[in-house]
Amino acid sequence: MSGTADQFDTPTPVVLGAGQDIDPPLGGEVAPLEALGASGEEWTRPHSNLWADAFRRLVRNRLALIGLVIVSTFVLIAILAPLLAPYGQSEVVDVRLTRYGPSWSWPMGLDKNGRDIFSRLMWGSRVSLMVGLASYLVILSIAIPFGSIAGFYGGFVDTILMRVVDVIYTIPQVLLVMLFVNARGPSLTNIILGIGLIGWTTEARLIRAQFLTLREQEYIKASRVAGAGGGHIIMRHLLPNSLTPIIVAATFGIPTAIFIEAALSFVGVGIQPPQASWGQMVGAASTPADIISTPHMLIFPVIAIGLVMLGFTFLGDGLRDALDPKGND
Amino acid sequence: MLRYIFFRVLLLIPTVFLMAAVTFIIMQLTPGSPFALGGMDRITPEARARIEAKYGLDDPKILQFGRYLKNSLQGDFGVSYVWRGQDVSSIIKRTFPVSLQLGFMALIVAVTVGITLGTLAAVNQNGPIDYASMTTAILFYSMPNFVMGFLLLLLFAVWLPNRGVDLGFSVSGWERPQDWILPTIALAAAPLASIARYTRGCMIEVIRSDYVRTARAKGLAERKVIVKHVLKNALIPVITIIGPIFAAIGTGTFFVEQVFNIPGMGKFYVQSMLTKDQPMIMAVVLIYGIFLALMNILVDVINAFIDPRIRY
Repeated sequence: MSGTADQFDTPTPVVLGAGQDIDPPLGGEVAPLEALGASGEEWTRPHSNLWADAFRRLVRNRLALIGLVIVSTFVLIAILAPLLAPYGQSEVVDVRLTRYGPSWSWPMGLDKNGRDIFSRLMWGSRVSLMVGLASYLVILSIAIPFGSIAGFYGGFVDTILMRVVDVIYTIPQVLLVMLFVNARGPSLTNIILGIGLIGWTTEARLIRAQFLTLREQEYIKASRVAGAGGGHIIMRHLLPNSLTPIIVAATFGIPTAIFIEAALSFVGVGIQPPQASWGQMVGAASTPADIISTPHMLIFPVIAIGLVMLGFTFLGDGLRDALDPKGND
Repeated sequence: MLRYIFFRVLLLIPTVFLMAAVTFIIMQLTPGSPFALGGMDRITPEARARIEAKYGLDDPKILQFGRYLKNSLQGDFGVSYVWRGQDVSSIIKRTFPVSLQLGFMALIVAVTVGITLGTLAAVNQNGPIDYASMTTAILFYSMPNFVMGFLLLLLFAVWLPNRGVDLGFSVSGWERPQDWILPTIALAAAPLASIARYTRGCMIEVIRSDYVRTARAKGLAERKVIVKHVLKNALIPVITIIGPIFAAIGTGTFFVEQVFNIPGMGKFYVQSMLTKDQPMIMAVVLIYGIFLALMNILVDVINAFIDPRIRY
């Protein structure tokens, strides 16, 4: 527990790494050098902390690196879409060239309204990214207070709160989001709200479980003895130390949100045309006749969704391994 | 054990009640009424009042909810707003078996292939079989079922036939048994991958345990060690994820049926959404929710039965 004393009174978030206690001997200023039988000068390994270590482990993992590249490309395209996309998202290139196949001018062809599929994919990535990030923010803003209170106070409060979670958990999530969006009207905001308001139970459980184990640790007891109140312990000790599992959960929660939006838009209750969304592009090209005669309208959005999902899975798996204190080195 | 089952089933009551309440409230908030459809908006106010009185639409909401709850429990979900002259129960009776069949085929494929793949990978840990099956698993695992469905369709019903390799798959339909193959694979792929990954993890953990070392030390054949000692213990945690897998497959039918044009409950649900056919929507959510909850109880009971460490 070399991080204990340090954790206790240093206000800066840098303490995160030390508090995590993943790598105590390398933790920096608090490392007991004498115990290692080494003088300060012989210390050759570069100063590192949890995040630097994790990042190094992450990029050493080939699949995780591929995932990182896919996800960053996706994010970059989404941010830069207005600059990169050759056409607007509802701009008709040529009314006479509807369903035109891939060509040099339009690498992914045109859709049934004569719009450029390549451009629409770029515009659609913005919807996916927006839904992924925003709904995860909603999820966290519900799950963190909920899980914290349940996990920190335990007992009766915990039982009641977790019963609520259990019941919501049993209701099929996608169906309920569909119901919600259908009721409030299909818009980006409602999709984000729907996913967030219904999908927070996994994260709440995670935070609760993390708190339950952490609150028995010595440094929490020390903090209590020193007279720290519940709010202080939660904000300063428990939450920062629960950050790693939350980050790993995010790499699975964000693609889930992206998937739900795509699925909703695919069946027609999500993003409405002419706004571009990958799922909706899939849905618009998926009648049996279209699949046979113009598969190009279908294949590109399908691949886009699949690729982003794959990227997040690779990244998530890699991150979990990189941040997991067990099973490394 | 009986006590445990009893309490679990008892807990079903508040769950179902809450589910019904949530659906009812959301549906009440939904704009659009049965009168908004098919020229019904042109009827006179008097006729409208008569119809409302007949169907109890003018009663207080709480009364409507009570009646809805009572009727649903008796298997009467009312009359569809959209499918003229058909009551919801008969539509469900027709479409639910289709979804159930698809779901069970996918479940069987996912469990058998998943466990086999996971076992093979664990036994050949870090060998080529391990890498091959785990790479496949991660690919399957991350593909949403409708993406997988379209990829299969494009490959087997469009691309290959165009190149003269016709395996008899068509882009839509459910009549012929070969129409079942692609949807089943699309639906089974992701759960299969989770099971394979999970099985592998559990197997490897057990393989490292002391009693397996003992089994080997006393000279048991490797095959016997794996089947009798490892697999038996490794499968206990695997059973616990069958519950969530059930949910994944169940929800998956809603999208896979859309992809392959299968006349199941999921396709009807989506259509009811688009047409705001409230009785249909509520019935589907309720039936599906109850079904899932029952399956979860079943999985937990099986689990308690198999694992002697679980005591209730």
